[in-house]
Amino acid sequence: MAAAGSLTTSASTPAWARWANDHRKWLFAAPAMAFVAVLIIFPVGWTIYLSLTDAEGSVRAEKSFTGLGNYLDVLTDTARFWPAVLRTVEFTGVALFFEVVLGMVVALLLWRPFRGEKWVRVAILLPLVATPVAVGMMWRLIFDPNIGFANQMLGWVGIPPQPWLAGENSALMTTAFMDIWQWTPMVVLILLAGLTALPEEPNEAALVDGASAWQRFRYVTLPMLMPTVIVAILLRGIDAIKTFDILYATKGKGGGSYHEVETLNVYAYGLSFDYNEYGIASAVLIIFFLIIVGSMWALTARGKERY
Amino acid sequence: MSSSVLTEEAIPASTVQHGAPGTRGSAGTRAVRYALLVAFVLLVLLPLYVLLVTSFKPSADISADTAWSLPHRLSVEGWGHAWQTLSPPLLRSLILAVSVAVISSVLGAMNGFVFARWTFPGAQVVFTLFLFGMFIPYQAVMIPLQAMFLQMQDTAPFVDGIVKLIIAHCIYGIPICSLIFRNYYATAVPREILEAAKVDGAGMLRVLRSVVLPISAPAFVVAMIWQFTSAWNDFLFALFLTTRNNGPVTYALNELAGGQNPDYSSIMAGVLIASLPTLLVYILLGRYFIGGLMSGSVK
Repeated sequence: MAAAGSLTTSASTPAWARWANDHRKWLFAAPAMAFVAVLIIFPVGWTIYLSLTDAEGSVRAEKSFTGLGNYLDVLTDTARFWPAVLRTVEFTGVALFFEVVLGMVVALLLWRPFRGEKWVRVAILLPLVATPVAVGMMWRLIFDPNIGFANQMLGWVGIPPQPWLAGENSALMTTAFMDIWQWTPMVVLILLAGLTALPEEPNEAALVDGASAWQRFRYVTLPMLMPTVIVAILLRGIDAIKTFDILYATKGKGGGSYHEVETLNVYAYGLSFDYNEYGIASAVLIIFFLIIVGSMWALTARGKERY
Repeated sequence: MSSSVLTEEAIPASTVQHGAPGTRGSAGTRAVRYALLVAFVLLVLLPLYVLLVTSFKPSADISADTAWSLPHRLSVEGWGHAWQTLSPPLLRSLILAVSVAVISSVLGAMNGFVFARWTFPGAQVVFTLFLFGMFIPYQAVMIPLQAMFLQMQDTAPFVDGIVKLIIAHCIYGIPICSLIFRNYYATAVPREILEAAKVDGAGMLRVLRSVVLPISAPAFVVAMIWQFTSAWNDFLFALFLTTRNNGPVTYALNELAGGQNPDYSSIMAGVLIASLPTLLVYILLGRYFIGGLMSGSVK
């Protein structure tokens, strides 16, 4: 991109016109850049500042500087903070694992053309566009312990009804299932794009050499596809950590009465807007932010190093 | 990241060029493949079926034994109730999503052009900053955002409800829209054409108006669909920036479903009403939509 700047100078352009052009493009990009500065960098800075104060009650209330006190409080809080971290890791891990594995299976199934492909694609990608809150509501009905379809289905094969969302231990995994239902298609899309861009020759050569379908996948397709897989993991992972809508829509404030689905995100939201503990909430948010940036950086670095 | 792999073009291309004779496998593997595909399609469609039949049942008829069955007595009560509760917020959501789609795609086109074809010193730095902006969790800015809007409301009381959401979505949509347009212009507008126009003495605005904008339609469609959907589907911003009386449909749907004894037939009707617009967009403009998702996922 940098080269474009030097190319703009052509002999026939008078100096003043060039000067005008040089500054007009600044004018052009300036509003957006200013907005980005004001509404992205400044708020993040503000959150960092709040995390160092005892702000509570109202965002505009008097506050005093407390240094790293909030961070100390948060990091030693074994009642709410650490369980929330654990749930975030559990939710993200389970959702991501199944999304990538299932996404790979579906992408491979859709890879080669077949009859009816168009409709199958439309159907399989449908969850992507559904409004997440609405998806949460839909599953709330299906996983309702008393009247839900999930328990009716279990009844057909003789399994006793499960509490699903209402269970203290099963709620988190039930929401992870919803996330998998909605976002596996995203992984399918990314992997499908990767698969389509692969060259045909290596696979054909392996076929000629008598490699089985599994061998061709394991030793030919997968290694070539790995950079795309990393991209898929990265994008889905970040989104999964940030999941909020379905958790809040299905279990409400505080992630349910036992905080069953209270991930870091839901916890920070509750601290901010249900309890108005802005200082502590900001500290949690900054830690949360660092976790995201950290895992992103680790994954990208690893990806670059290996592929 | 490997943005070259994930271009929008990659998806539709798959259907045509890969015949790869000899790789189809036997009748057995083909049967397995179809069986698996059917299973996945069912997994997607079954919940939608349950959703639909429940919405037409009278509340009293909803029970575990009949969750699967078609309604015995057809009732549109749920739909009536849902429509009554949701129609004002539905209209607000529509205003929100359309304004966001228009405003942010225009901003995105301006930025994308500057980034792709009329770069300035430091463009790379700003661009990296944009990418960073796409990854920050909204939660990390929600407290300051609310404080800033409160401040704004002191001087401009009309900045409330949907207006706040429009502002927030436009701002946070700038990075992704700029990226969509930048990627599009980088491939669709050959440098030679721009050079030729410049040699002919056209300034930047002139080039933009007569050369670039006339071929920008595909990028506009992608960016607009992308922004429409994300503004429509958003729940987090709505939750802390709006109230019951001025919020969008996601907020209202959550309210509708609140309470101890949820009335499932109207909730399910509400779910369908609330998701219908994005669903329609997907079915009518699916091709572009996928393109939008892909360029969104390149990041």
